[in-house]
Amino acid sequence: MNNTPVKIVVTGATGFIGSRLCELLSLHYQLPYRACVRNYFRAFRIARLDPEMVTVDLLSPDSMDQAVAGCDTVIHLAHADDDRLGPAVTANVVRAAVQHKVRRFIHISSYAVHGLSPKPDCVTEDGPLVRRSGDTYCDSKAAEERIVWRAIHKNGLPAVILRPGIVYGPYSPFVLQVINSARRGVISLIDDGRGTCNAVFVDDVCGAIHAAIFNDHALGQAFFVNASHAVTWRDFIMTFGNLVTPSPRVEQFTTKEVEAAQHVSLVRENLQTLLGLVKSSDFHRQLGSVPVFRAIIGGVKRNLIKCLSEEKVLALKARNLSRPSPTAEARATPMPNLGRLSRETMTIEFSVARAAKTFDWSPAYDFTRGAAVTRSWLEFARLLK
Amino acid sequence: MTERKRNVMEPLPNKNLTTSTPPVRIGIVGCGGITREAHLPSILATPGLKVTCLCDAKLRNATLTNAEFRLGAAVVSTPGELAGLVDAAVVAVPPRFHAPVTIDLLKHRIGVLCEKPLATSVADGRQMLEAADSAGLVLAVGFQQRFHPNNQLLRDVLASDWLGEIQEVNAEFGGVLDGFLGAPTYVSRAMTGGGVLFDMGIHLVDRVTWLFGELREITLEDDSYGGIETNANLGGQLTIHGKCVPCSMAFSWTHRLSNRIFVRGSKAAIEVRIAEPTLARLRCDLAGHQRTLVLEAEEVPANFTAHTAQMQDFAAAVRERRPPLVSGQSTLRSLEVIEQAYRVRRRLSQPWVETWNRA
Repeated sequence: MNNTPVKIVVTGATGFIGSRLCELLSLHYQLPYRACVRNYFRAFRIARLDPEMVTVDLLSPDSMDQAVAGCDTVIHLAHADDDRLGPAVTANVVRAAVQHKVRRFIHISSYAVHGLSPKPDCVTEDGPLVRRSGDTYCDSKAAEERIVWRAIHKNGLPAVILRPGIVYGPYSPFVLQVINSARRGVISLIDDGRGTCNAVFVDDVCGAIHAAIFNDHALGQAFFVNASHAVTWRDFIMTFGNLVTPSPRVEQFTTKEVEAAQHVSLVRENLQTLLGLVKSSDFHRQLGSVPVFRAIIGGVKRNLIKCLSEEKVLALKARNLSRPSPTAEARATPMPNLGRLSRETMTIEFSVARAAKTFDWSPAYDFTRGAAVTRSWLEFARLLK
Repeated sequence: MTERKRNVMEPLPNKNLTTSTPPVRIGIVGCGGITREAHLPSILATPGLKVTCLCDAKLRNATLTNAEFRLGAAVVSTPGELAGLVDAAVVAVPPRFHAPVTIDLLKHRIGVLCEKPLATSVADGRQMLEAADSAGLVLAVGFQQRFHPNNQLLRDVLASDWLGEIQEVNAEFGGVLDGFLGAPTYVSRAMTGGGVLFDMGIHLVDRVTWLFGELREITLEDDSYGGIETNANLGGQLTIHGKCVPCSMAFSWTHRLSNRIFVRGSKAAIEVRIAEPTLARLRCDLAGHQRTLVLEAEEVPANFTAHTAQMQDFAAAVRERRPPLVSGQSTLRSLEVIEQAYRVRRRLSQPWVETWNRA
């Protein structure tokens, strides 16, 4: 049976993985495809390839139907970091795929479907999907995957689910996070970076997608997509951070410190927001539109000014003007956030054994090789100084 | 309510503006982002101009812009409808429509400030110039960087012997565009004349050739694989003070570049940054130490913007019936450079793209 697709429709085509997939579809795999685009300012990278681009509202049934029409394969990469929007998008894409009876639906999921702290049984793909982890990304990716599983079981959707780990390469947000931090002079490690980083080079993810298009044995299954061997987060962060000149300072944090800081920062953020609201002139204006409050605020201000000398009033105003904003303070503190904490303290190495056994795919890049390719792009993009 | 129709033979308002001087009536064709962010604010900041008509193929865009800026202008959907309502017009439609829209307006005796690039081809550009010549009307092009006061600083330094023998000219313009663009107008090869070189790079190509003269022996490397380019390296030779000087230019839509013009001489170097239109930085040796001296243009209004400066020049050109600083004719050179560059283009080496060749 000839499995070559008539035409592939790619959602999320302007994202990090999507853009690279389009490059490989055009230049290497040489398969016909249609790229779904919402914001053309994000489409410059794929526009180099002169692909077929369609303006798509992924939440609109009509729009999605038009995008899928004439295509027999869907690669669903689009994701909205919102636990309602993401699943709504996936539901619409799946619906269109079922309606148009596509030959193949490849859903790009994530190992995050197992939650922030996956249990040891998640070392294979059969571990349970998380219900409510409290993390938006995990919860929305799990909800999206459930929609695809339901369509597989109820509608016979010929789907393959791929769960990549930490995808890196040129333009990778994970790499850019480290590089941007290093360029500010500081990179940070949690628990000395001992956590497991299931890094996978972006070309290997695209390679898995390509293999899944052609291999029928993969249908109705989920697969982790990683490098053959995981690295530590220390390897990942130090490898990219140390590319920057001058070399950044390394800050060490423990899990406890990060957790405590997050707790404090949450309380502080609430108080600061509340205080900011009470102090804001916008709030005063709004409140002042009620006559009784206008009289009270006016009276309080007049009395306050009467009590202070002119110099004191000016000094107070100057202090307010020269005080750094909370955002600027936060930026100067390289304290990792909860997202990083959960990612970088995980110790599970997700196995790619099932993918290797079931369909004709194995990762071509070890971390050293993938990092070398990424470095060549970072140099070109002048991000190392 | 629309403005009264003015006879085209009626003299335009005098350059010596008084409160009783009737304003120059301006129309805008294309009510997209650049109109709202740049053209309208600069028109509104220019005394003696009044927006009397907005035109957009999508009438709703014109209506919304009219309401947003409280212009009280007439709203139309085709350029021909501007006839009689305006003395001059700003053309801010996608580049492939520059030629037909501009020629249409000129035929209706309306002077034009056309967004850059002049056209998508030199041939179209020439037709626009002919239309302006035969109508005897102003055709200006939106190359605002020519109004940066540091151009004169650069010229003054070049005219002196401060730099010594000029050895190199380098110009760069690049950054990641942010915002929202809902249509493929600027990214589809079928809809535009090119990518970063054509759309953004042309600002510096125009400025460099305006400052230094003809660019010869043109080379181009870019990252197009059949579509528009997002990175481009343009090379060539300039003649400065009678000597051949290598010139390199880089443009990017994927990452930030130095965004400046840099001239290196045997004794010193000078840099003018795009974001600092009134300054020039002279790098030289002072008593054995490398120093940077900042030169500042004088008599620049505190609220200077290049867009407003160009709008003022355009308004004066229309009023006084004289050529604008950025005449259509003077911008043909940059279009010729780009057209020639595309003919000799080679693929920029990007090993992270064709990884399969290294496997």
